[in-house]
Amino acid sequence: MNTDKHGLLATKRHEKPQKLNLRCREVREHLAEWVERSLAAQKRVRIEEHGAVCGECGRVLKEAREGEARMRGLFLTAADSMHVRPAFEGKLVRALRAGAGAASEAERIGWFGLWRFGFGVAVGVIFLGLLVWRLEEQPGGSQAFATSEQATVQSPSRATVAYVLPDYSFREEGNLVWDSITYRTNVLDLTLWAQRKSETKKEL
Amino acid sequence: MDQERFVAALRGGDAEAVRELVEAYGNRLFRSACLLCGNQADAEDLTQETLLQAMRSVERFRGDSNAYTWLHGILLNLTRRHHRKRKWLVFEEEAGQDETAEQEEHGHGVDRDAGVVALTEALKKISGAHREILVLRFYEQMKIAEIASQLGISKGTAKSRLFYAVEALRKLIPAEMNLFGDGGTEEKVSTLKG
Repeated sequence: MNTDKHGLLATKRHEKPQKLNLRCREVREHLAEWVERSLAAQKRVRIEEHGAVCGECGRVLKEAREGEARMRGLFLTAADSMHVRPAFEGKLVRALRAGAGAASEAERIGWFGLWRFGFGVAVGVIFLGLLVWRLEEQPGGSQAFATSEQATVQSPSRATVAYVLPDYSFREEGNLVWDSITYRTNVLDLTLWAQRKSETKKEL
Repeated sequence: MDQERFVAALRGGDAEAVRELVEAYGNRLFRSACLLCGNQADAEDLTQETLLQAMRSVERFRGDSNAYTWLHGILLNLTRRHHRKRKWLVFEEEAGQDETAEQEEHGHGVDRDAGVVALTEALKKISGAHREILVLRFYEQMKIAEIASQLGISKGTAKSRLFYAVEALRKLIPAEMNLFGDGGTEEKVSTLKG
């Protein structure tokens, strides 16, 4: 294979590359695909016909195919000569089983479900924070925390968040479990829920 | 090994499938890792880590490439990371010594012919990108389109890189072995003769 990547003949470094005609250039361009026999039939035939009449291209094609076969043979021989320890397969099997154990442990703990549930809790906290903030923004809102009795007297229509009670519960439906967390306040109740498979729940 | 069985093995629920997985791909991955990293002990670790990594990311296996190609992609990534970690060590010298000692220990050093020794030594000296593409082409016997897909490069880049990789190897393989039709470099020949 005495051609460069552009399909120019470069016999020696100090020599100026010889210009190729279009057909010769096509041969160089598609050499790798021709060797691996992945060219479309029409293009392959065109290249082979040209190789039959152009001495240089014929030589390039022949050398490319022979070189590929030699290299494949050498790599396969080199790989086959690598010593595989008899215990290696057993070691791999044990490692994979241990790895599977670790993976199922993570599943049992239910990291994905916990993350999702944690996200729900965070959303709830933000929501309640916003609710308190909005109430404080309202006229007389800052005084609303003095006592609920005073707030009621000053402005019966305005709500005051006097307490927040988180409440976790779950219920099973077939093979599904619905986790829910409810934030109970004197103003309103906010419930967030998440769904997961029941086998995870049972193991928990 | 069909894809369902492959996925079952990686999910770890089926012990028999795990054994089949190792039988089907373990040795082939190991040999490829040997060529890529040049050291049999490291190749064992890389093979094991490849399969464990596959197990951890089985959800990402979509089945649009075959199972071995997917595993080999993981191996390539781990090998790159391995080389980056060892960059600050004198990799070639150390690995060469380890390998020689190991082969002598197992009595395999004498069985390997000159071409194989020349190739493994040459692979240690060329760049990682060249080594990868040579292994994919000549050991894994991938086509240009498959190599391009596996390395995430264009077909043109794959052809160009392969050309330069073969050139780099040609310069390091002795001419007498006649691996490339017109032999290796004059410098190498003169070194061997001298």
